Amino acid sequence: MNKKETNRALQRGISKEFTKGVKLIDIDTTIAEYMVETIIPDVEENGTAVKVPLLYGNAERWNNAREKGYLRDQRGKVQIPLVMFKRNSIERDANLAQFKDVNTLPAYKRYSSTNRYERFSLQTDASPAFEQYEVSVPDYVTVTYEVMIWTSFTEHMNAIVEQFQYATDRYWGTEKGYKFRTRIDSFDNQQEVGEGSERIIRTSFTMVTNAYLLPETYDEKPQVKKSFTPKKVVWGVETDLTGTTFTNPNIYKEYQNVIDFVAIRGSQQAIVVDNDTVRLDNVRLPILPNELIGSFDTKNWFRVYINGEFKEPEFYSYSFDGTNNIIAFNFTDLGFSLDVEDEIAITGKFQQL
Amino acid sequence: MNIKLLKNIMKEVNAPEEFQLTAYDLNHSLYWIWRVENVRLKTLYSKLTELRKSEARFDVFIEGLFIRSEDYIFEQIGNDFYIKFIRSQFPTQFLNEDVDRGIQPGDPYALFSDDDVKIKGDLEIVE
Repeated sequence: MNKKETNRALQRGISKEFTKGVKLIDIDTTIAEYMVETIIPDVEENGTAVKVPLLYGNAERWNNAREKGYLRDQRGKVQIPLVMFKRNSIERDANLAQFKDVNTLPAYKRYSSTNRYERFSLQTDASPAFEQYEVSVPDYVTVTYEVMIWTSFTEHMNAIVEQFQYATDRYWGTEKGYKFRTRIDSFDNQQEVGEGSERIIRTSFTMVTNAYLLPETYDEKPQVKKSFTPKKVVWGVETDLTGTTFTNPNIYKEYQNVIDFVAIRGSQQAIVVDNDTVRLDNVRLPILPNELIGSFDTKNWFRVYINGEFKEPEFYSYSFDGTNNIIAFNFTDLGFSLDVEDEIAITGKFQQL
Repeated sequence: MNIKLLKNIMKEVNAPEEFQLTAYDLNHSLYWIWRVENVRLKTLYSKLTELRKSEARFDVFIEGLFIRSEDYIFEQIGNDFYIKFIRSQFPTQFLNEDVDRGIQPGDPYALFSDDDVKIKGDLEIVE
């Protein structure tokens, strides 16, 4: 984040991965990794596969190798096989020159943590906001590398050179990292057999990489700017033809019949009609919603108490008269006849009107 | 309304709790007063109040026998829930042939402090 930017409204948190830029070391590393992982093959020595090491040729190593024609390790052993490379020059690519102060490269990230899941977005068919990055135009350059390969046998050298030749004019890099087009024009082969020294096959060549450079900040301003695309909300028209007052749909409305059914509970004193029948007046019997069929215990729809004692559902049957809002209970096998003095209280799934 | 509110409604109407009451005042001239401390009636979602009237929100039992809502009134005082059994609603002459909890046939009905009085319904502990 630019420290000079004091206007909080203009400050945008950008992940570090988007602001790291492209540096020379990124180009060198990408080229080196591609050579190690993709190009340079293992060579066979005495029936075993030997990995060919790759070294970056710093000044001391390079001069040493130039003067003597080979490189020795710390113990004095000639390092063979070996591939060594170094960066020779960086040139401006005139074909891709840009007016950098004005132009930017737009990039989108479709996922944004600001797009929270909410039912509102479903109802309005809202499209999510994208994260938009304005990346400054990089500086396009041509980077030249010099590579030297040492092997003991021509056969080994051939295998390595063939791989390099086949890799020319390709984009070197990884799928998730940088990629730079690299070209190799010619290989210079030499065989050296000195008196009292090892037989060395050496090949040197120059490769040209088309790359680009982008600093993290320039003039203390970040080279990547982040913004959000506007959210799109489509308002539809909903027409209520029932004539009832329009209310916003909600979960209660959606499941109202189930919620209402669960909530319904009545408790009322029944009126004795005759010695085996009682009735509840001014009540309504709800209909069991389809969603609760199988899970609701219909046997315990009512709880009937005669003089305080609970009577099992086996002792009665009931019927609902929707016209007069009456539920009638008919008892059998009670063992006694009902009397107007009896107190019959009924609780359960009925609505007191 | 969100899922949380839906869950709350289900807790309000579909999770009955049972509590034991203790005698608070058995010498009152009009009532036998029992209470349970730190208990209250659950708040019911406003759209459901017509579907579950106050007398249907809980049941009261004395010695396992259901008591009609006409026989008592209830009151919430502070964090305590009171049930006041109306003396005049209970028989002045105990008609059972057998002695019940020490009440002789012909005596007026009475409640005693060691009676088992329970309440079950839309109640919750005050936390």
